[in-house]
Amino acid sequence: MQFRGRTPVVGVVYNTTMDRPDAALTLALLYGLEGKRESRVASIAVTGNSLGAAAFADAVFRFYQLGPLPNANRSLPVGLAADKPLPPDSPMVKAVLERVNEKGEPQYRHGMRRVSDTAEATALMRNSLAYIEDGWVTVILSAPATYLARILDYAGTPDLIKSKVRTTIISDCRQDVAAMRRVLAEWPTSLVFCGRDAALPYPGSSIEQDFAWTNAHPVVDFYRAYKPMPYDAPAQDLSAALFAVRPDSGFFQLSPGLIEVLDDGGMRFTPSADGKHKRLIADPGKKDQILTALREVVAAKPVPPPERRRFTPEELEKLRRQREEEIKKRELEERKAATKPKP
Amino acid sequence: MIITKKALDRRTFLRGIGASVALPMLDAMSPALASSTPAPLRTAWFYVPNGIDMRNWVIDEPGPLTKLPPILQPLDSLKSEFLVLSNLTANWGRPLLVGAGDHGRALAAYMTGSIVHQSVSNLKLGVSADQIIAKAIGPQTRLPSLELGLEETRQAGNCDNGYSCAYAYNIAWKTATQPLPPISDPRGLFERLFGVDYFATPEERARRLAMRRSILDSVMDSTGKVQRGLGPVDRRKLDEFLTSVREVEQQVEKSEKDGMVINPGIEKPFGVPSDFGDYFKLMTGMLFIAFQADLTRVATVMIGREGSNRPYPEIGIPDSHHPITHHQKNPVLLDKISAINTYHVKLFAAFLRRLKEHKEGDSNLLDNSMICYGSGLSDGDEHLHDELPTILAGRGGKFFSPGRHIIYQRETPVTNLFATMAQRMGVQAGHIGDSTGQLAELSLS
Repeated sequence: MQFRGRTPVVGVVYNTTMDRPDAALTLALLYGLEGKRESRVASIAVTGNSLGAAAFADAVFRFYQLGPLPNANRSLPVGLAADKPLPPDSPMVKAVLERVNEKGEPQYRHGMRRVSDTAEATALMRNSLAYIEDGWVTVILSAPATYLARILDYAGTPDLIKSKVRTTIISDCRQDVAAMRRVLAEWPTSLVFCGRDAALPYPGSSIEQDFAWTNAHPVVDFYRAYKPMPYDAPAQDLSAALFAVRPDSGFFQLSPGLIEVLDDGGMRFTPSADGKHKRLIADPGKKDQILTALREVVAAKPVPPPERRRFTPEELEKLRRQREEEIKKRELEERKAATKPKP
Repeated sequence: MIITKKALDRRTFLRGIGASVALPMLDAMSPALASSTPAPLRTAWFYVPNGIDMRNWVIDEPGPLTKLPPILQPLDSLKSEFLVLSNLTANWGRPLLVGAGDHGRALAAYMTGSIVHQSVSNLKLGVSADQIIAKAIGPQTRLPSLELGLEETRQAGNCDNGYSCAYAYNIAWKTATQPLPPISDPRGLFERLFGVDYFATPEERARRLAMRRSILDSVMDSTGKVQRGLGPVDRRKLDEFLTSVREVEQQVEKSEKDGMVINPGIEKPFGVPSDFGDYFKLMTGMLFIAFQADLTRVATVMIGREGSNRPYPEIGIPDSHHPITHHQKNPVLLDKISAINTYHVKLFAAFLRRLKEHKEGDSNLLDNSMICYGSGLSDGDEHLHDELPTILAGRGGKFFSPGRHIIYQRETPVTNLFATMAQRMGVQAGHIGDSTGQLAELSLS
């Protein structure tokens, strides 16, 4: 059952190492698409990185939230895999978290003082599925599959994945061999591979030009700190995220084949007409259109949340009656189903 | 000193007509030359409804418990006996795609970790943690589990936006479709423990009571026989135990005599003390005896049903509980909520103190227990089902290291705590509802 009147949108579960400009740009894209009401960020889980990386993701989330922060009934905290020693903050993360404004205060707010401010990564990814309508979740895995594989062990979760997840996109990166092999063997939804060669690089010129509306943007600071400007960043996660939310845009093609993880943790996609997996390829003929679409969303300004409409007492009474009717109807249907003789 | 190998059976009952009283642990039950038998572990859950004023509950830093926040102040003298656990979540209590109905879901999802099927008549949930434990170890005691409630129960009807009342009134679920209604009638509980007239109505029992003497009178012959074989220390212990049973019985009788005195605005079944504190003390006094005499090792206590409208005139709050929890940050309402929350904790602290004072070999009853106190809601105004207020009291048999505040990563299922408690009770449940593993850091060893 859904909230009355809500049109389902794609919910994205993004598991990232948050160590490349691509990941930061993808956050901007996801929140940009959320601002356009095209999708919803179900959860962001950072693995193999520092507390600062999670704090960066939280800072980006807050950057895009105009008005009060939503509580956990609407939006979940950023996850962090913290069961192993955490690495130090990267220069990109430091550039964002250590930037101060003219008053000497941190430029970007975040709420991650310590590990317990983050969400436990596996429980987060599992829990976030329940926020999204059946068949409307896309998982983007751009990190070792360690934690994604783990949720297969939780009671009832394979069924939950089956009912909620439409597609799972695996972005090419160094893998946890055993975990990825398990995902390839047991994950109950279709798998799409997004290789490094499949995606268009994101132009550094966009960073220079498209963000002129602000003098402080955490994604821009992250990008600039990665290496000397100007440079174009490989952006496979961006393609994965755009495809996740706009699968019918015509920007991408899917070709059949088989995803494999090699003994050294590398990944390989072998084309095959009867392959059970798919490979995502950006349509070479639509390169300009894809880049335009990406730039437009990545550089979009934060959007205020829709104003909550106040109902008149008459409307509230009508809604109450409607709800009661719905409950009665469902009860009746359930009773009928319960008394119906089984064939 | 005479050392005997003869042991009194741990399952000795004092029997009489229509009554049987289990004995507490006595020295004679573990003779000097026998290998020492560890005391049994007990576990209980105390559920508080409508969330908490988290302003006065939250402790900012992890580590040893030092200065407690206002709501926990009544536990100050017991600081070394409990853990405060922060950031636990009950995901299936959340609105998710359904919307309203948080109170029904909060209670139902809390101990089952399961999806709460929105329906008035077609119940579908999961098995609660206590019942998973009771199923495994229940046969070892006279009662597999005890379900207590301090409010009248309802099992049918629409209590919360299309959720059956069964969800908001029952914390214990034996199967996915079968709740175990809590006993809220003191006489019913007394007779369940001591085996008389359990199925009679409170009024019928009261009428019979007028004709009858104490249950201790009916087991007098049996008591005499047992007493003759005991040493002086055990005799004293038995005497103290029977005295506490008699005191509880007298309190039950007194409540029944006062049965007609009902405070306006309080839904109060027959035989329930008018004063909430007396009611709490009476019911948990019987739970104490049940644990002491090993009548059961598993219990749930619903301090109120979820969405409870009980007023608390005892502490100068005539307002209904649930409406004031929709405080919208109004400091006056928040202070009232804090007062109610503190009152509950004060009553709970008295129960813990009683467990602690009861010696069991070289430890005490609290050491050999795991008592969880908490709610399926943190903030009752916004109906938040994460960062749940949670206390775990007792050492679970020299296992837990209390006296600390542990902050887990957010989204950690509260059922991970219950899975840990189940494992400590010797139950290999695998998982409890949506649990994802065991809670770390509860023990420092």
